[in-house]
Amino acid sequence: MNSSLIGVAIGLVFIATLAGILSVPLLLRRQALSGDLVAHALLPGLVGAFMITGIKETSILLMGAVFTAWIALRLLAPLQKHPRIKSDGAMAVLISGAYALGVFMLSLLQKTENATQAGLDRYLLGSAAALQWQEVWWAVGIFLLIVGGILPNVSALQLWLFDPDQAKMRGINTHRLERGLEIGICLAVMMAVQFVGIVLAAALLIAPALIARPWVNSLLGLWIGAAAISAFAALTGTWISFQSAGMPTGPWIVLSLAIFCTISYACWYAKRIFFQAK
Amino acid sequence: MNLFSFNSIDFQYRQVVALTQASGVIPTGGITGIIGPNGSGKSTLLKILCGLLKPASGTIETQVLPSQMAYVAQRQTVDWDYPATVKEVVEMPLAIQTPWYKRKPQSQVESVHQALALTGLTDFADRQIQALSGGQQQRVFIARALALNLPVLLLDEPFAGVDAPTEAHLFQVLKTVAEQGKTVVMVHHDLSAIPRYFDHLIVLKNTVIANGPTAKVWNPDLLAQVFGISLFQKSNAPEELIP
Repeated sequence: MNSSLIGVAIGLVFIATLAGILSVPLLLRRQALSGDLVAHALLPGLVGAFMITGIKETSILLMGAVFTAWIALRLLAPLQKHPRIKSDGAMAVLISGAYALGVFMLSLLQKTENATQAGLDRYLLGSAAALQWQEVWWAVGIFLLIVGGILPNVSALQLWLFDPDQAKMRGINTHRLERGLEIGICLAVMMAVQFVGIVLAAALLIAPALIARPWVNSLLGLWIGAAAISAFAALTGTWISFQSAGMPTGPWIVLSLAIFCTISYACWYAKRIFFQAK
Repeated sequence: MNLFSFNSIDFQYRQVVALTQASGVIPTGGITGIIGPNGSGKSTLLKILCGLLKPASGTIETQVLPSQMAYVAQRQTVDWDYPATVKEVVEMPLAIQTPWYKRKPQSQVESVHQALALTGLTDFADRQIQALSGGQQQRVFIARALALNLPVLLLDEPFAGVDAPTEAHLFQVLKTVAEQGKTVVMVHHDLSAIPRYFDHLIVLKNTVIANGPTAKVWNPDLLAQVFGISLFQKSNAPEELIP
């Protein structure tokens, strides 16, 4: 087993597990598509960071990406509160608008003679094979940061996710939790986009909690289930993609999640029918 | 002494005026009812009193902090598909007082058990909340508020969806709570129960129409004005509602 496979597997497991953990509050708050919004809104920031600095350093590109993703999330809240704009409409406009802006900026850049801009488009579909060990450590560090932020706040998160008004009454700083969740999503998607691409990154923030939900009846169980499913999908997708040269890792991870989702709900319906028949 | 004293409260949701120049008092102790037709600002007033909403203008004076109030919302405000049992929901607001790495204190465990017993939910403690009926969900909210053991309880239509025997039992629980020196403020829609339930009333129709002891406020002419129909028929017996 070569070190590139190990490195890719470690990095992807940490990123996918983090995305799985964050998929739970998004599912419970009915904000599953926020991950999709963040993924698409990363592109203009990524390209913009390169346009401004001229440097194709991962940390700089990703800072720009996180900035525009966070702006998009902040724009979503007032749009959703408008009585005549439905939540799905607001989401659709922001997702497509942000992505269109990013693609436009990328096409402008590609018309310049700046050779260093080559490779920026890999973020559209991701490239796990190009993962460096430095990025693996970034993934581990962000995972520890976010999990370290969640653990001491588990009870507060539990109450906030179930009943936000009650959480405010009990003195919980719900704005801090909201901002913390937004930043966590931006960081997780920022890492995921490098490997699975902008188009597929949202799946990592939607599918794990959906797959686990029919089988668990507690918040802790949902977190553990979603994290385990994500990690397993990352390992499965990575292993399959390394069986043949040229196979993309990111799409195989998302395909694994799709298969797990199908199996989960098929089993759940079968169980329901079986017990009803009895 | 008054627990709450509010003066010239204005509040609107975008174009819809919920409250305009609402002024009144809620005394300490006893059970105060907030009544009025649909859309009269009852829930809004309750949320303003517990600090969840800020009025556009007006003042509120209170003897207690929001942390000393237990608020029971209408049950439609949460998603009952949430993965939790009845016991977990009741202990949620208490759990935040204990760091995640420590065991729950015995006093907290006992508060939860007592609250479940008072609301008749002991046998449902380990049931998933999505499997509850509407009335049972409402009882879970009330149990959660009772478990907090705070001096003020603010309840928004706590008996909605609850059957008559359970309502009578729960009201008796609230009455016992009030007799222990706590203050209960309740939005209620069933006018027939007003004289039995409440010591003090606030009658709302986007502003305070009447505010005072029930014996003084509970007046057929005033209520006909507020609700727009004749609710009472004259008889030699005490006023009765037209069925």
